[in-house]
Amino acid sequence: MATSGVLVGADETTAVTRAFRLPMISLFIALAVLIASLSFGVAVGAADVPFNGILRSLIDHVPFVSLSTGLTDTQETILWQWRIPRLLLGALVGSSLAVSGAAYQGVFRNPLADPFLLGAAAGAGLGATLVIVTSSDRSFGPLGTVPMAAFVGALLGVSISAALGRSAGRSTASLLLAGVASAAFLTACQTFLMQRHVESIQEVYGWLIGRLSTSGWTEVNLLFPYFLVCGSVIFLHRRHLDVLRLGDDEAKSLGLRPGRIRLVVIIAASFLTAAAVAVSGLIAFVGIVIPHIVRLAVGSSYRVVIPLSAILGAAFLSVGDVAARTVLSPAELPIGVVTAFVGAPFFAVVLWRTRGQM
Amino acid sequence: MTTTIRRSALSFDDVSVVYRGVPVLDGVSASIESGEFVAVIGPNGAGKSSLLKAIVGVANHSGNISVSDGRGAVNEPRDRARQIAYVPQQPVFPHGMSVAEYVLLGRTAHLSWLGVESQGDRNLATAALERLDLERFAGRELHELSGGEAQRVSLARALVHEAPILILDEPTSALDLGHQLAVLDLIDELRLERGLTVITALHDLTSAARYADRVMLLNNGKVAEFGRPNAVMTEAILSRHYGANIGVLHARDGSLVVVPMPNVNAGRQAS
Repeated sequence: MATSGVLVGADETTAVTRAFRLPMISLFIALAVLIASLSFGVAVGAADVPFNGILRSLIDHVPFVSLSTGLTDTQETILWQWRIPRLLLGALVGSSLAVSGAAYQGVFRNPLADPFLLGAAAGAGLGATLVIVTSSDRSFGPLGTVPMAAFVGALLGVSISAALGRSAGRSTASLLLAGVASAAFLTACQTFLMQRHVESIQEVYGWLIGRLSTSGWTEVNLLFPYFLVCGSVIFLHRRHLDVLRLGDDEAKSLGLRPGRIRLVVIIAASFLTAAAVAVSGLIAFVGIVIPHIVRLAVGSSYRVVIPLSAILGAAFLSVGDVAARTVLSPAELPIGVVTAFVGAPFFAVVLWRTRGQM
Repeated sequence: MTTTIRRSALSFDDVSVVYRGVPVLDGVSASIESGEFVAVIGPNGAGKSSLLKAIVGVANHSGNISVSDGRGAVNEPRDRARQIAYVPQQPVFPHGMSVAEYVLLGRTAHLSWLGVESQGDRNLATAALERLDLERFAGRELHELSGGEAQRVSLARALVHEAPILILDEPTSALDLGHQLAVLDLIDELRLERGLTVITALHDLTSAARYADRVMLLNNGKVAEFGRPNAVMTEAILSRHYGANIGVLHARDGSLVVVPMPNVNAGRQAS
């Protein structure tokens, strides 16, 4: 049952080999939670689509399989052009934010590092606000001006934080403080723009609090390549993130180049965050909540934290979106509000639990 | 303490380290033979840690440090890491990391880029834990260990490096007398067992005299003396470089015991 070179066979039962074995059971549990969440997400919605028909329709879409679904054309359209793309978008965004958060926490050796703490969110917010208040082209679709401006802004925010942090020193604290400073500056610019264009405040606000609205598969198609490439880069660096926990000196003595690893992982995590923010707006706290749930439940090795954050991040936002769609039905609650409701108290618990380690 | 001197393991030529504009190591040149136990001694700020960090590749330095892997000098960090295992003065023990996970990180230089450990790597880690009588701690978290256990765990990680050179920075500084002797005995045993070259900074001069084949005395970033303990550790040399009155006694078995002596001049002034 050796898997990915990390897990050892079940036949080895000494205390030492047991200690080396990463908890395989946790992977199965996480996958079960994801499947349950996706099933729940696809089954629940304003329009009545029978679950049996959904299952048959899913099987019908497997290549070389043909099955009568029993669904009307309208139900099929709702399922395949609205509910499933939205569900997958939520899963992809949740997974992207959770993996980026875990990666930032590893790179900066700080459990409170988060995509949003390093200026990414503030940069994205400024970019999107700039377009909304100044341009008549307010397309939100793929390659639309709002997501692209958010994308550029997120990368700009992280770049400013990285440059400022580097100039202030090489410590983790200096980078996080630089992130706080650049976020404050970018947010101030954004607030200034909003004050100058009060007529657009409603629209900007709608984007800022995060939402998972889809127009067919376009958002999923935009995010998926970033998720695949950047997620893979971070996943492949999971062991290096464990080595970085020893500090730069010891990582160097083990033959790694910490600066290079940090740069690669930051770039991957920033692109992933930017792509997620571009299609969903600002959805806070996923990047902190999910990796910490994994740490508390399973362990702190990034070989566990990265893959399980990816799976549970997807599950969390899938379920969160169901809540967003149904709690005030037929009105919709912004998903950012749901994650903040859960995330803010959790953040406080994390702070309390990590007392003495900060 | 018989040692077979085989070939040069490590040599440095005119090595200098500047830290924040201040030279902390100034033109150090020396050659260390394979299988030697070298103790680096000197007063605080003499440059002991800087020399060790320069050898390991952690500190930026000028001059040339040549690590031989039997085929020639190795300079790439990864190649160097396969030749040199390093135990810092205060190893970082990440919160939540288990002993087994920590020891396995010692295999980093032997894995392919972005690779993870094989069963063979885990077997090596298991063997290292068993050798150091740590197997019962394998699943325990690092922060639960006592000072002596933690020191042995950091040694276990260095062992799974399978590097011929072992560099230690004050490996006994946080330990009581009994554990100090136990750790140094262990290091010497491992050296003889595996033919390791050991270079260690030591605060305790009696231990340095007891375990080392040669002693390097650093002062103000320069090599003041480098030779056999009997030649370097004399009352005159130590007193001069440590700026204190130091006595060197000869025990019955011929080993040296270094002790601080009352400062005669200070006593006279006080009276």
